[in-house]
Amino acid sequence: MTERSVGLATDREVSLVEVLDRALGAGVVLTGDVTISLADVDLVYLSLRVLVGSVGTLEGGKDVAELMPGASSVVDG
Amino acid sequence: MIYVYAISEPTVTRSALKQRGLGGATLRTLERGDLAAIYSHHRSLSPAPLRKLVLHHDRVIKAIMATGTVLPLRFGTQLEHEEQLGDLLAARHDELRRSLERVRGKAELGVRVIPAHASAPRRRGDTKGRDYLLDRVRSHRRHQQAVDDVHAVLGALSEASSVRETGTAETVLVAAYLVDQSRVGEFRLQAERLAGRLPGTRMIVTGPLPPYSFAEQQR
Repeated sequence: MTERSVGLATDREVSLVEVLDRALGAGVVLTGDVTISLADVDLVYLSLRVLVGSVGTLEGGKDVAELMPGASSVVDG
Repeated sequence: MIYVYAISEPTVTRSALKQRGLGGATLRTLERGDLAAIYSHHRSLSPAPLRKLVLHHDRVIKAIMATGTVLPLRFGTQLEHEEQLGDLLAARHDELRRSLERVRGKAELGVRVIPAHASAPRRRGDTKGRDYLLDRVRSHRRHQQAVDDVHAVLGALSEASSVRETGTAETVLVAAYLVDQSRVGEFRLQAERLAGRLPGTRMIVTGPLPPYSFAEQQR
């Protein structure tokens, strides 16, 4: 991971966070199985935190299960 | 299994469906009365960096939005087959129709106000701890009032709004606005002007976006 001071993300990076934040944490939730590797999700959250210091729905103790109902720990290959 | 991107209406045009879905899959629609869901077939989701999959999901939704009203689904919805999808559309018909009407002709704009610079370390030898703290509290309150004012003005230009975060050192304001598509330009201009009321910060406006934050039933 490159060194980067919190808050010095580019506008483009911030906008990327805005899109990812929404697609992962907002939108209509239909009942279904969400099959995403938990490790992958953690990495996304980590990189988002590094970029902007805190990311709305992705901090404050919310865990993956809360954000993605039915998320399992198996990557569908 | 099927992967579902969004809910729209049967008028979704062919041009929106020309775009490829995740893993290059063909986009299809399932219609149930006055609702339509856009999805693709998969044996399994091709492994790919999560970020790329999520951005692809978003691109598909944006393509549909260019041709009509769309309710974005949260990333990751997989169902066994179309029958399940049809049943879900039927079961939630009224609520989904209300949501479609809520977002018709509108787009979402994200506003994120963050510090312009990394916070300065406290000077060594700061004396009078109590006075320092009181000063910080007063300054924070003035600052927060300015932030609240900015949100109020942008909210007035919107059909709906929601503040996700405010009042922390790292995120001065994180908010979502549902704006009539004819007013998006005006919103952006106003936002730029208002950014000047918050010295020491940067404001990033993202959008127009599909209405993720306003797609679910408002409680």
